[in-house]
Amino acid sequence: MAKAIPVADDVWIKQTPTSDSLTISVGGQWVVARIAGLFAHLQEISSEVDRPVTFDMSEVEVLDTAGAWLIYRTAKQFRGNGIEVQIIGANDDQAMMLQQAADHDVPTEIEPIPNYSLRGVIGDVGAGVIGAAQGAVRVLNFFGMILLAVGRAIVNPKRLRLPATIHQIEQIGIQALPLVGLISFLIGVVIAYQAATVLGDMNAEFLTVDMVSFVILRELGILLAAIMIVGRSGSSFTAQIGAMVMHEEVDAMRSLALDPIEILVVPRFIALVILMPIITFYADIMAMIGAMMVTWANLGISPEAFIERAHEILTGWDVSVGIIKAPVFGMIIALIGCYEGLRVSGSAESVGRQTTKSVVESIFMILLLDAFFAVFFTTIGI
Amino acid sequence: MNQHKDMPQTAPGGDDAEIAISVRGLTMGFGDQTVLDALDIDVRKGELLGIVGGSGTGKSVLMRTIIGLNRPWAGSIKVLGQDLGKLDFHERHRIERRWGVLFQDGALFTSLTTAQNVQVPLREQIKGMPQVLMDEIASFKLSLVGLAPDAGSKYPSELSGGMRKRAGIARALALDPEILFLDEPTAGLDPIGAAAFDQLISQLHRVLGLTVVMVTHDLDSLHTVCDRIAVLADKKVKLIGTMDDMLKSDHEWTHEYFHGPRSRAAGIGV
Repeated sequence: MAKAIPVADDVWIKQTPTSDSLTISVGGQWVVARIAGLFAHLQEISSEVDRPVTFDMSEVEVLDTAGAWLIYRTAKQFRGNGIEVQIIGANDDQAMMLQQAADHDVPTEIEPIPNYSLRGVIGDVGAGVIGAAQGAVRVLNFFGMILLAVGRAIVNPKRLRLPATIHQIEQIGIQALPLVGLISFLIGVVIAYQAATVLGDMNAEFLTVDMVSFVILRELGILLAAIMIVGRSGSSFTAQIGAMVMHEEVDAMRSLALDPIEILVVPRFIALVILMPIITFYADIMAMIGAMMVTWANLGISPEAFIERAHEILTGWDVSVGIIKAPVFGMIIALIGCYEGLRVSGSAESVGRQTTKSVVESIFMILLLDAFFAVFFTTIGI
Repeated sequence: MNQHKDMPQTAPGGDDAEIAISVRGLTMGFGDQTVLDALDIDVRKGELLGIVGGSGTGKSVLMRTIIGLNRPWAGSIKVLGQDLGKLDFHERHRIERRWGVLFQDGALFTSLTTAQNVQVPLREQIKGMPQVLMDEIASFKLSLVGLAPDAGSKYPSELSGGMRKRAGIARALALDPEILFLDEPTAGLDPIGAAAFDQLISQLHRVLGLTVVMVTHDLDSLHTVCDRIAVLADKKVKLIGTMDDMLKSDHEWTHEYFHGPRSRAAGIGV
């Protein structure tokens, strides 16, 4: 009559039914590593049980808390179905384990329950809109605090952290030169190549120099430089400051009557405002050199001719328009990078989230402002 | 002295079966600085061993080396009868499941809730564990370490230091280990919280029959819960024994440690 179900080679369940009861003998290693298989078998048995059950544990060799929990919760499930359950054969230690399982049968929430109801969704949308508006106000407020701190540093130059500022200039500027130079050069090559191809179809190759010069000097140089600095420095501002917030370093500064804005933000802000025009000019030159190489190799325009042509068509404004935008973009990168860093809270995950936000917001703001600048410069006719 | 009368009985099988961890000739350091030099220590099955020593004597290094986070320069470490240096990848994996570790601040994964933290070892190490059973076991473990049901869905950043440590123990116990390593379990807790934590450790040790190795500076913990104490000094285990042995010792650091004003405050040796 009895059928033994070997679950693994060291653990088994055996059912011995009689007319008015069922004995489930269990034995072997009732440990956490075997628990998944045992659970499946007990669920199978429980669906067929229709008479009082006796659990015989006398052949259990090892019982851990997971095994004890499984026996306890199966017994509870049977009782819930109106079936009488008796547990026999447990030694003292095992009985204590079962008692522990019963004592600690306290269902716990596993994760916060998200609210997917219509009201919840509308509420989330509203909270998002309000949050965005409040965020904008906070950023503006933060910008004001930075300007005040910069103003104080100008009035009283002793307040300017010169070593920190120079360190930032080295980090942001000098170490970025190889990357910015190479990428600008390559983009210059690509633009000139495309321009030469399209203009060549219309027999207007001679306009290639005009086109690439305008595009690079007015827009591409500054945008490339800004986006690379966002990726390289804006993100690292957020991560650095965020990690400091996480280790309560920023709180420690405040408690020592030091202003985190003066110490952490102003050096980065000033460094970027000074550096962005220089990096932009450098990116312009590198991209122009890239374009020059292509027109020389493909169209036979010598570098001398390229430079001469550029001289003829470009006005001072064409060069300045890109460079004028640079300090503004530098401010945006420093502002958002530092702001998001200071908003880090608690977890390592939050550093990552704020860094992503900082990069996305900076690039968005830069492109948005660039569009405004384009309209503005066109309107005033330069 | 508070010795456990009801220490779990160990299986018969000679001397070797009575020893949970056996370290021989362990040498370990960083760079050209030796931290542990030819150190020997035995941890008996089912005992609660406290490791003490001055700052920088390598208590945590010893613990981290036993659990394989640091690579020893020389020497052998046997845990539950297996020489860790001679195990292949899978054997090593199997033995790692037989111990649990509580790091200083709990070291919970910050992106998961407390209950999900407890489920991590179950989910990763046990194949085919149904979610309902994982939820139940996580609840059981969290209740076992004395956390309220609403703590399960909280993230570690929302918990107090004591609760994070309790959750850390719950995670360490998820796979029902035989050995529990604790790194300064009561550091950073208030005296009431620390006393409650001592009680928890002592209770888990008794109820689950665990072997516990605890690095600590807390004289109250040493006094109330430890079966034996090991003193680390001069890169070796200078002394190992009961609190009585410590009090009788004439080793300078040990004497100062166990006869200082703080020990008297903890009611040791009076």
